[in-house]
Amino acid sequence: MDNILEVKNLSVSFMSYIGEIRAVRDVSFSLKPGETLAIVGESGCGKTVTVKALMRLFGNSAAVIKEGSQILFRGQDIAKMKKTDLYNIRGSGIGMIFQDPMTSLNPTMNVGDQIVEGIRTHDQKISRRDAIARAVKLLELVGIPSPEERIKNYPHQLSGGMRQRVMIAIAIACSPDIIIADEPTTALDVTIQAQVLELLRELKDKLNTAFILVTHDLGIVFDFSDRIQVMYAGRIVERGTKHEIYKNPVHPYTWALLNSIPRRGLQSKDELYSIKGTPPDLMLPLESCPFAPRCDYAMPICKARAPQEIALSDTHGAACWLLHSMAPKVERPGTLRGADNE
Amino acid sequence: MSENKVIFEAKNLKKYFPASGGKMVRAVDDVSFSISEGETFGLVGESGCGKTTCGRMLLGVYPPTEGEVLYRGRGLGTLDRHERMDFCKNVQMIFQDPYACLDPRMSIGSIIAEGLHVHFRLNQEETMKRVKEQLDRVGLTSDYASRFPHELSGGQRQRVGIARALAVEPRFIVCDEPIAALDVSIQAQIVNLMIQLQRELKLTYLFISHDLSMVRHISDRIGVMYLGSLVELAGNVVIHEKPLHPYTQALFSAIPIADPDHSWISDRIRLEGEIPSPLSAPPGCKFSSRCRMCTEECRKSPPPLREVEPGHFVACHRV
Repeated sequence: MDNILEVKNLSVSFMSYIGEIRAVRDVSFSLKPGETLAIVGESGCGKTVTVKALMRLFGNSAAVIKEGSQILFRGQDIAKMKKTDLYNIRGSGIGMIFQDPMTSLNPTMNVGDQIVEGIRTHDQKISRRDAIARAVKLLELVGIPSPEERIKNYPHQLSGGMRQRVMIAIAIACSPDIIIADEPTTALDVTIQAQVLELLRELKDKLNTAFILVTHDLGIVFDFSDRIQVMYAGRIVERGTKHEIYKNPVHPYTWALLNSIPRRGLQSKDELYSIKGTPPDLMLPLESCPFAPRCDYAMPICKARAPQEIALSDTHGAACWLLHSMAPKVERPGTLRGADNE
Repeated sequence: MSENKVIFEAKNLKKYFPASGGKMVRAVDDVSFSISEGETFGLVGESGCGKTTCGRMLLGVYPPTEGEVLYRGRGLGTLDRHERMDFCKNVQMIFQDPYACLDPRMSIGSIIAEGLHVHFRLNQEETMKRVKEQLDRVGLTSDYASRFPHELSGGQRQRVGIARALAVEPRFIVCDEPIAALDVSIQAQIVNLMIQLQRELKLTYLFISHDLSMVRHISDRIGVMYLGSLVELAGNVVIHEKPLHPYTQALFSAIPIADPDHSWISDRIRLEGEIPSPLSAPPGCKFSSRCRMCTEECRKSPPPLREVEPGHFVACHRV
């Protein structure tokens, strides 16, 4: 199948008064129809900026998509598209679910109007009554009880989980080909998080849309996505199918992320694996490997030159000097090797 | 744990907050538990279940509406001025938001020294020495003393928060969601630090969090709260492996599992509906409106917390 989305050499910078902050640096990836891709990383690694760039959702911020970046959606380049063409894609081509449903919904509009707004923007022929009927169906689809009543509610009258369901209803209203979910469950409690993820998974199967899930929580991605992409300091450091990332992670940063979740086998009060230091300053040019100062396996070359991505299979690749043929062989941390036995 | 000396006891604690229309938000409704010296007591539950309110009542920040808090056998309300000072020195708190809990106009050194001025008579030199010791203890170098909060990252700020709590040599620390605002890799650093400090200084923690796997990791015993009530209390392993209350079972089955061959989303125990508002909690068992095993009895009378196995308490009619 052809890729529905192809991102090539995407770089995004913020022009601030102290200089250029290079939030996304030369990122390339693609997405097939119906596929789920997870982008994982800590705050400030550029994951949200990457997905916002896919719809050019930068508003008045000083973000600039750099020269040479290509974002091909159904063959059209979003990076160079006219604003009017962009409006047609936002919502109907690519939908977005934001992290915080309280600040992303309009507090002065009832939820029905917010869903209808999207539907009528993209389908000018539909009557208001039909659009409302569709909004009711959508609320039913996302599991909101008595949708005819709820449609008149304002966001403040709904709980966090309900609001996130409304956000999902808005995102799927125009049946987009891609839905981007930016930390959709971070603001929710665990039981609600599971409900929302289950709903998203059902919708994915029902509507056959492609999904991009952005999250910092490695725990939720394995059950939800087909492929995983780990980002650090604006770069993709490792990519692979979920089985490849789980069974055979190769980048020390991926090891660290996997290890910092307390696993079931771990004795309580044992020391948890932690990454020393803090994420790098994105103002710097980063000619070395950005993870080198925090890496337990750093070699002299890591501090001198940035590694290129090395492919391990069609789907699996990582940017790390340890994969170079001349690098010493290192063993993965013990707790991770246990995963191979399963 | 070395000896089973009870440091805190909560007896039938209730805290009602007035709401509009003469109604009462029953934030904490008849909660009893005790915390022994040297242990970590974890308090978990979803937002709005009353875990933070519980922690604040232990510290005396909120006076309870009913019931009492006993600190080493003495009611908090009966302490005189001198004893009260002693209590404040021995009981400290680490806050959730490392950005909001440090005064932006104070240097890190003066933030840590503030408690020292209140509780100890020290000259300038001794104060600075103590401040540096605390910074060293939490893994920061002594030149941080002259910096200001805005120069620090979230993890570093949380370390300052811990240093401030430790400066007055407390015995007991309430940790209210200390890692919720931090990144995954930084969370592990802070939890490791807290465990190490507990070993060195023989501290007792009340660890309040909604992150169930971290709570399991750090706690010796865990209490689960739902809508202002304690529904289950047991050792950390027991409560994960053999939860008895239907809410605990559902809650712990919703913890994400990082394993591509195991679908926790599908295998979890599903809960009907959402948490009722604390303004209109069900009259009997608070969980009855969402429980699979609910009977007539559950709707009428609230189940008491009873011991079903040594050290394992459950509030459910059906267990």
